[in-house]
Amino acid sequence: MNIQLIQHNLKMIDEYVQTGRGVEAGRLALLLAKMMLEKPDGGQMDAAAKRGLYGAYGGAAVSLKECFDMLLQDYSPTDDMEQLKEKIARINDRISQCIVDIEEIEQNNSELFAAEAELRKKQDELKEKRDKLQELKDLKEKGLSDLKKEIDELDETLNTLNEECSKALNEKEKWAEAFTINRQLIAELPESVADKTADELIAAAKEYAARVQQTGSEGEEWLIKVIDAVEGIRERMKNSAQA
Amino acid sequence: MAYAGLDLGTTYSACYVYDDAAKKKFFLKFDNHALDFFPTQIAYHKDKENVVYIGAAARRYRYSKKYDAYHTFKLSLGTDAQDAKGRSRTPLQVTHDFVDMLLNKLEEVYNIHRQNLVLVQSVPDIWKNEEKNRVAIDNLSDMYADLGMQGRIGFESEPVAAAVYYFNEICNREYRGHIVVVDYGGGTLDLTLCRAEENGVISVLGSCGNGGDDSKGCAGSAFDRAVTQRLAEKYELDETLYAPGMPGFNSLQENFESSKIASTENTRAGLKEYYESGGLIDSVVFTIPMPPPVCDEYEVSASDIANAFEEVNRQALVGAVEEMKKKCAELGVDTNGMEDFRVLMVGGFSNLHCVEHCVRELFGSTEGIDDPRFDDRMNREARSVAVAQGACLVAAGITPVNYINQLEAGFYAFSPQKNKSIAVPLLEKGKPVNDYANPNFAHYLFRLAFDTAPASLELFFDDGRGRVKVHMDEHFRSLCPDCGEEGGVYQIGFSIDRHRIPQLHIRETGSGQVNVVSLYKTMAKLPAVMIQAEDEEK
Repeated sequence: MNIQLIQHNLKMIDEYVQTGRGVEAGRLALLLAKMMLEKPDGGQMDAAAKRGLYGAYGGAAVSLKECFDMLLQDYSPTDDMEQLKEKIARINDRISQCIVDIEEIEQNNSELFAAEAELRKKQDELKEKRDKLQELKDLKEKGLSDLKKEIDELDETLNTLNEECSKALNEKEKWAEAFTINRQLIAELPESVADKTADELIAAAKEYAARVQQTGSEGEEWLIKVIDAVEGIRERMKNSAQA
Repeated sequence: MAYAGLDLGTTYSACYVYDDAAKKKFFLKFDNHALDFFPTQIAYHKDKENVVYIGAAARRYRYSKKYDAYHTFKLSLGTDAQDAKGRSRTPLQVTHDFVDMLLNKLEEVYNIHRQNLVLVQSVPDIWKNEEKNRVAIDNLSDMYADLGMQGRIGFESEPVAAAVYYFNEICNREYRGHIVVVDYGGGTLDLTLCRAEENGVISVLGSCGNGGDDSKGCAGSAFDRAVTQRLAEKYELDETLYAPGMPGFNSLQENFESSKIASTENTRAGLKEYYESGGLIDSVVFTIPMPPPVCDEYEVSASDIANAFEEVNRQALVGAVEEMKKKCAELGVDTNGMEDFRVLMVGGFSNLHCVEHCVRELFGSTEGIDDPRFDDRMNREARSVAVAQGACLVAAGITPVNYINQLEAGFYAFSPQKNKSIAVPLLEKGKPVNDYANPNFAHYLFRLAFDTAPASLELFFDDGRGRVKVHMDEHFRSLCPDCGEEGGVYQIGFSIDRHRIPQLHIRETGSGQVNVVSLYKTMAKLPAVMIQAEDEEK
């Protein structure tokens, strides 16, 4: 009898028991008990060895008891075959029911998943719209201030234009007056002037002005203006022809 | 340099190679689908000289009339190595060609030339204890010299190679303690006691076993034959075809062997059930599908296996294990130790459940019990490759092996004071074998005196099984240097060579000339007489 082997296996059984491996502990305990019963060769042992063997048997018995206690928790008599069959049938029914339940749960789950997916989609859309709205709001805020600024700028421009317009109107009036006089003067121009060129007209006008010079300084002033105007026209014509 | 371990088994062989240059380790394989081991068979085409196959290819032609096929030749490498027994080639020639083809294969396929190879062949430890096989290593040594391997060949005991493998590859060199290796193969049963020392050396302390022989045997081949015989009787097969040695019988045995290997796990389960039920549950463990023209399928039951084992193997196994336990007790080895004692099961036949069941029982263990002495890591695969890999580790010098001398040898000298012969031991048991690398010469001097008395020498030899007296007369004279000259004075010495073969040295004191012969070879040539210890006085 190998006491060391027995002790080693008792240690293993203890370890199995401590770690909740009851079946393995039970299997090993059974094998160990079998081995000890098959090989109880203590005849040639001295008293100390026999005491050791006795101690080992005692230890084994304690370990075996622990194993069996542990296994007892899950133990149920299985000698009644009918009862066992019923039990198996019940378990089978339960398994079938469980399969049906599982299928139903799976179906529900799939619907829930679909609904969840839809919800997520809508949430995304909502978020998108919110973002858009915010964008528009931002744009609006920004647009109003810009518009106001633009209006102010336009007001300013309008004022400037009004000023310029009044100036231009004044100028226009002055020019209208000048043109009226001019038209009058042109109308009053002798017939011979009508077929003449601008140079000729200027020359004639100068000549006429020289003649009129003698009649008064006011008339002379107007004539000079007419000549300048005609020259201006000529310059502009020349420039536009060049362009 | 490359190192190889060759496990030349009786039925299967394996060659493991470590190529130092390429930093590769591998099993020699004949093709990509081959297993790590191959049949120890060779087939020569009878008409075409250059058509020779070995391994699985040779097995195909085992019964072909066109081929001269050989198997189990490992069992005849001792005194009958040169005996062709009516066939065209001797066992040694066949072994020579088998190994030569393996070496050629290494050159052709793996580019490892024999000039760059250190090879260790594993040999049964039991050979040294068998009169018939003591000279086998001498014969193999000569054979390897002829193959151009002189100086690069070593021989390691198979169980020791397995212990080296276990120590290195399984325990990562961390185990310290004793190891009993039970090497049970196709042809031999070898048990060896080793010790993994603190310094990482494996000491070999002793061995025992049973070699069997080709005709009878106690190992795997004999078991296969016994089961085949049972099946032939059970199925009432035609005796003219299915008697032992007949083609039908051989074919059935071969198919049984391959089915047995393929169904190891199934057989294990069936036998376990058989033993646990006390023989009440006797299931079919596998079937033997016979090829055409038989096309029949024979069922092998657990009882066929168990009964053949009981008949052929159990007694030898129990005897060897008990002898080993006795040896352990003599050396003070605690075989009950959980931390410092291991039992290694190696060899193909150890995979048979009956073998492990029996060995466990003898060491007070039971299958299923957590017993660290039987290391689970030595599984079926490890058992098959352990010897070849271990031999390779020895070849590469990774684990040193220290043999403790197990034999006593010396000679008898006449003491004028006592007026009688006294024993002069020159090799003593228990000393490291390395201590005898140089010869240990006795102080006694011999003088050849032709006129007065015929010169003779009486040697003694004890390998643990009782003292054997070997008488040398004419042969002794022929070994003496300058034996023609009368008055020559000689000294006798003994050494143990690198292959652990004891050598007899005869030195002429005047010229210093020495003749050295293998003690095993000498004993094989001379009559040896077993003598009782009380008949003599040291």
